Amino acid sequence: MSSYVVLKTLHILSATFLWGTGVGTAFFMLMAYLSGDIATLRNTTKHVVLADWLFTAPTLVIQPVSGYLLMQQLGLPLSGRWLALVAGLYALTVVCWLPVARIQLQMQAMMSALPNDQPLPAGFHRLFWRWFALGVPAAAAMLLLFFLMVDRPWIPA
Amino acid sequence: MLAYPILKTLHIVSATLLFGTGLGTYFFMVQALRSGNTEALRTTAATVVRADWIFTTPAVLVQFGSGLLLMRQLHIPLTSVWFLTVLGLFVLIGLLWLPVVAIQIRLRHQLLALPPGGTPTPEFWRLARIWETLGYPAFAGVLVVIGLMVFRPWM
Repeated sequence: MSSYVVLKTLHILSATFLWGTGVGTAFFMLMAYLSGDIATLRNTTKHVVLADWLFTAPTLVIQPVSGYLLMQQLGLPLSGRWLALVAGLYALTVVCWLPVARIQLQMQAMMSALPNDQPLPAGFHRLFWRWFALGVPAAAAMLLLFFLMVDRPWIPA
Repeated sequence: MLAYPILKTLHIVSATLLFGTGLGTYFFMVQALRSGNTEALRTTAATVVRADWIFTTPAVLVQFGSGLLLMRQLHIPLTSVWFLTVLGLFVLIGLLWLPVVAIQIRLRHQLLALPPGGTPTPEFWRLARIWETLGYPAFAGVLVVIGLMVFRPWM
């Protein structure tokens, strides 16, 4: 029983790092973009990449692993509508994140090569909005996942 | 009265915004302080102040309100050792957070007042160190609260 609660805490904490820190990162990136300041953008794009390695990448792995172990402890079958929906939403999140990880590396490279007094290149604007737009379905999927984790429909209590 | 699963989801999501976004904010501010780039620091400090108004302040209110409603639905007494411990930690974290808010507003002011090409004063770095240090016990407290939410001992 006690290992169940430890696993559950780990599962919730890693969800916090994935979703909450992700929202924080998106907010700092958006504000840096809106400031239009090159020095700020150079710093922030670098830290966005670092934050994703520190917080997002490990939690993307911890989430399904701890989730699988929790299901085993609860004796939940790996078939059924609930898991299909959960896994589908999670896959959607990952599919959105992979190009995000690539785009932010491109934004970082672009900013580190740009001198302070230059205007933002058109390519940067395009990259930023693609980066931002990919975050919207991922964030929505994660919110829905939180609800499905709490309510667990189609699973008899 | 909101249904229990909706209320609980709201409680958890606001907790993730409080802790996760708080951690994100802390990370970006500490990185900006380390970078030593005044321009980046100026924008980041302004965003930190804004993030606290947009995420932290509403999340704190939602945490408290949804928590009380959940306790009522679960019939958990307000005098249980579990609740008193959680409440004590919640107040303690709040007491650590209030000076953090005051300090980050001062940090932003000092950065905005700097002339172009100017560098922050020793006073700025002293305040920044206090800001950073207050984060450690606050985040540790949040971790303990999350553990208490899952384990729910002494009820």
